[in-house]
Amino acid sequence: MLNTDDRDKRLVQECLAGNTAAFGGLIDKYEKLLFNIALRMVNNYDDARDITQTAFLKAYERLDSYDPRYKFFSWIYRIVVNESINAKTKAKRFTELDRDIPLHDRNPEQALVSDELSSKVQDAVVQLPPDYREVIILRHFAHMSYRDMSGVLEIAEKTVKSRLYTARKQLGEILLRKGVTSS
Amino acid sequence: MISEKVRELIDRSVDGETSAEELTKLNNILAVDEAARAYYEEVSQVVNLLEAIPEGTPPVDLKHEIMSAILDDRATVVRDRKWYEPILEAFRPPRHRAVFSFAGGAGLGLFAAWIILGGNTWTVPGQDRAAVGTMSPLVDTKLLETVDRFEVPVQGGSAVVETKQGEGLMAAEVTVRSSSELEITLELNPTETQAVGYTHLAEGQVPSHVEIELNRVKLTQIGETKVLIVLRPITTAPGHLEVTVEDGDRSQQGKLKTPRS
Repeated sequence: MLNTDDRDKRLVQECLAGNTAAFGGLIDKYEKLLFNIALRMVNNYDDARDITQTAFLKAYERLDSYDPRYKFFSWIYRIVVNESINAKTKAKRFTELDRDIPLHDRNPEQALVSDELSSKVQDAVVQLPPDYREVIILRHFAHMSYRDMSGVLEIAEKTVKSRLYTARKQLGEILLRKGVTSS
Repeated sequence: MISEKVRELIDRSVDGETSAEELTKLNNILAVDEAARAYYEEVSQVVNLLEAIPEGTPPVDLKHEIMSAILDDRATVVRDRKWYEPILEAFRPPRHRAVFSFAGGAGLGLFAAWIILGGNTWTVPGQDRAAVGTMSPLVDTKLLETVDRFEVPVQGGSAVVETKQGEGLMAAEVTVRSSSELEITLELNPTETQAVGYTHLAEGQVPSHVEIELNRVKLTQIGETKVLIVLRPITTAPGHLEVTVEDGDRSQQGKLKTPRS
């Protein structure tokens, strides 16, 4: 996913040179991932859509402040997380994941049980402090390696591992209190 | 109780970050270490629950919405930038600094000369050139005779509006000292008098906002200021203007005579 940094940088350069359409390439590449990160951060479909849209617009507005020594994803990811934290602070609401989100094809029974379980797990994720929520989201929803997470979060790999350990520990305790098990 | 090393090995294995060799080593440990096995099951369960959450699908029109907003609001994007950002950016390259410093110094010199010799130009939105005038900010307002006066107390001071005449000039002078935000509105009868421009007099800070139309002047201010609003008579008969001073929830109104042409 992050091995195409040069392509990202080229698209950014094209945008800065006046080719607005080049920004569409960056949207194509990161739209789904950033939307899912926002969705896991705020647990609300509409808010996640607004956050993703705002993050892309802010990134476009401030494109000239992007430092190409760093990965474009790391930069826009930080915008999404900040927007998500702001949105949560403003809204202070923890609504359930919308039921009408298009998901993978499942039969109705599976879907009902799975949705209920997913919703509980998602609620638990949202209860984690932001630092721990981030590592869970990057590892389990963005499927990043320790190394990539270290780059995006600008922390040592050792810190990534220790945060992930604490995050899972806390998550396990929250799920236990909710009576949630995978069996 | 498991060791830190074993715990880390288990964590890396559930994250798919172990080599084949490490995996074999871990299997050997799990076969004999009950505590390690318990931790492995605990962390695997959390991971399985997380991995079971289905991926969200963004709205199909998200990209279109973003690109439309970008294309529609490119001008807005430029406007939203802080006014000083382009100046700071221009100063960033060292070679530009000397040029800008010289140009800045020369500009200040010219401005000072313009203030002393020339005048301060004001314009009224929507007006033609005939409605644009010049007046030195060093105009001696003492030469203007007060026609009528309206003064009201406001938080932290007062708001004074005076209609004035003299030296071929008709004006309304607004003097404000306030610790809260004030909104002062002057309503003119457009068949009697029109507002054609304004200028900030030397003392005090500039108003935060002045809107001027032919028959309406709105000044929003916090702190101190003195503003001269230039009026133009439409008839030879004396007219009047209505003043509203809004200080938070309080609204105070008055009526002032405007000068005779």
